[in-house]
Amino acid sequence: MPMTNPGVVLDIDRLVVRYADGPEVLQGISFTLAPQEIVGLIGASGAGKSTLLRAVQRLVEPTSGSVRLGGTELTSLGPAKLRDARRRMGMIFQEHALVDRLSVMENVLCGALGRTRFWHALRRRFDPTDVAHAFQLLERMGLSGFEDRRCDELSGGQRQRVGIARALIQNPELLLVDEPTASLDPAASVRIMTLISEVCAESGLAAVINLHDVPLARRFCPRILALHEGRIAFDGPPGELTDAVLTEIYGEEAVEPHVAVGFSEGVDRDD
Amino acid sequence: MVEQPSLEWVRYSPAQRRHRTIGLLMAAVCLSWGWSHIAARTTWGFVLDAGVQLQDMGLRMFPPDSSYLVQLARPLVDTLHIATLGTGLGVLIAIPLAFLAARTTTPSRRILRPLALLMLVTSRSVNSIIWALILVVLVGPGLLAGILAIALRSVGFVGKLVYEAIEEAPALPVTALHTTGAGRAHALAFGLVPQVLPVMAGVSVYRWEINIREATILGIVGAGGLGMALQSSIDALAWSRVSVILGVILATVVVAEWVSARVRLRLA
Amino acid sequence: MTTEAARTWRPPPRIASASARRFAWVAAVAYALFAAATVDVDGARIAEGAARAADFFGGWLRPDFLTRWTDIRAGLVESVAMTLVATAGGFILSVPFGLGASRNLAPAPIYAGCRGALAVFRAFHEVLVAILFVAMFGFGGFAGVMTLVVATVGFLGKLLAEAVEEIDPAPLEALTAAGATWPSRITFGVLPQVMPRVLGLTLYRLDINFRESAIIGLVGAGGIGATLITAFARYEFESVSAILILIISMLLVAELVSSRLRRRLL
Repeated sequence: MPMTNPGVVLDIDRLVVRYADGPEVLQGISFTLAPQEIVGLIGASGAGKSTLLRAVQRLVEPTSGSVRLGGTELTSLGPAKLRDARRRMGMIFQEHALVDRLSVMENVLCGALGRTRFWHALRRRFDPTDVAHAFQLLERMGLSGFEDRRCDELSGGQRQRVGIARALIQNPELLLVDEPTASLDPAASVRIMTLISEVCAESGLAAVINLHDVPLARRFCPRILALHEGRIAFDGPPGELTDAVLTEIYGEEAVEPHVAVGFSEGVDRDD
Repeated sequence: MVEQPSLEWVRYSPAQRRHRTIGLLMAAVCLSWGWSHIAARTTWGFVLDAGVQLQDMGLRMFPPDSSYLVQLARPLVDTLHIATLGTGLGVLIAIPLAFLAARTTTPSRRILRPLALLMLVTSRSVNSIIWALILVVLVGPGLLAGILAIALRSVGFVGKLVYEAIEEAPALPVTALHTTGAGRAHALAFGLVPQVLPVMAGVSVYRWEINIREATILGIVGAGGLGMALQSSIDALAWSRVSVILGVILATVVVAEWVSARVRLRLA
Repeated sequence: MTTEAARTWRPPPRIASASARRFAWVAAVAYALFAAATVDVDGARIAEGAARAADFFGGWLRPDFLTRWTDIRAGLVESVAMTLVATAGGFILSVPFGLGASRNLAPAPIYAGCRGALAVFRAFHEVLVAILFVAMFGFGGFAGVMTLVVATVGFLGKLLAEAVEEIDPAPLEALTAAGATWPSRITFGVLPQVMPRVLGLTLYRLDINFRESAIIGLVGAGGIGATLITAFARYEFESVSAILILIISMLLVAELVSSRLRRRLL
């Protein structure tokens, strides 16, 4: 019987997720996440990476197994407690998860919706502490002065950073990051991953980061978890991730995709 | 020597040609039936006479009785009220209904959603002038009947377009807000509403413009506004007044269309 | 860049200039007061109406299809006939008007003329047009058909013109370069690009025309509208509700059929 170790941030035990019409997408996943640990989640499309993150948030319901966030069992929570639990986890999606027509500041403050009363939120009267925190986060993201700009006026990298700020304003214990660099060019991808790593280190956050780009995962994540057809195929430091393992996961001679890391022709209007 | 097969190209395969022929035949049958039905009940003498009738009316309508114009001020204001207040009321009802009718936001798929859809369809199928007929019976002739008639018709129009916009709005922002621990109301208010707000506003203004046009004639069945002046002038055979009223109606509709276009441009 | 100033934040107002905002508020309040003053609601009449409402809703719950069935059937048949003839006729006539109102096809005077004509057709509400045509052609379905034709031509003609103005010019240019005659150029270069959409719109217009055939009868232009207003005038609410139920059901069916047909077309 697994011991509930309060020191562990996330404890997943034999998690199974099966969609209504068919196959098991996750077939018994077990791993634990220590405080401040950063895990890169890799695997082919359909291997279950996104499903895993969503199952932790209970955006998809686990079929069986347990998910513990710092000792709290998530799978059995009712709606109100689930909301409380979600507040402790910050989830970062690809850039399209922002509300386009709202301003940057409003999007960031959305992260504080969980602790703001409905009418106050509607009239945009957020807690001054939250507002101060928001300003601080925007500055850290390099977006000072952008607070009143509409989100659909920003570049992909800028929007991603707004998403990060929104997750951070929750003061979470854990970050779940779903393909943050999927629609970014290589230079912006590196900038975003650098930012995420720095922020996790500064705030002492643990993180599970879903990445399709293996070199990026290797570079930024001290621990790699690889999924293959719903099971964990690898769990260890990037150094041990051999070509043989990659072939097994991605199914073919995994030629290292040579991503021109960091030196594309200044495409992103990020800065 | 091998014989070359003759190359032939036809646009439609024999099966398609059969379908098309049958379709056209059916259409022709329906049309000829329809036309014969109408023609049998038409007094052709009147039809042939139409040109003379038109000329006659034209002579009576012009010159228009400009002194009548002042008396139209009140009916014109009434028409504006009918359109504006009616649209406002209609929108107020339509928006909650739209949320009930949209697959993505309805709290109950089996009961409330079909009910909301039914209400929207009923509202759309009954023209405002028929609503006006009903309401004149219920609340008496006058503005109130007109306002309610416009409102009832607008609910379906606005509601349908808004619920379609709700269903087409991307779901990811709402999901993302759920992950911050926001409740359902919060997530919808911040993740969905800002996306559909422009559509709501634009559709409402567009319906207002259409409603001005409808409000001008509701008076014919007694629901207030310019239509009543028109009906009484026709009854009195005061054709020179009729032309003034028609002119005012035309001007009002044109101005309303212009205003609506400008406002919707700024909204976009 | 003091941190004190940064601690408060309000979302920027939707209307930028302060004076415009004040104007909007003042206008809204003024209108509300104005409306309250000028809209007189006759409380007594409404109370009276409550009694009649009971009658009316009673009628709703007991729709009577039988008493006036011959009239109802005649009205519905006439409405259907009007709808079919007017939509077909309107479609055919809308082609020359629509093509003539397309800036990329028509020479300037024709363009102006057709655009103007279409605007006139659409300017007046169908009920007004119906009144005119009843005065000209006498009561009955003929006036109704003419009214609906005018409305259809205005509707389809405008949409056809818009569709034609959006076409890809390349096929047309190619045909012109190949020396094709004008009718062929239109048939092969223009129509294939716009016809599916226009046919879809024509099917849609079929619904609308049926709905309108119900109301132009109110002023004497034939169809089920005439039956309806007669029933109203006689306070025969059971018949009224029967007629309305029939109209709504037929419209529902028509909408279903036409949307399915339109999907198969596109």
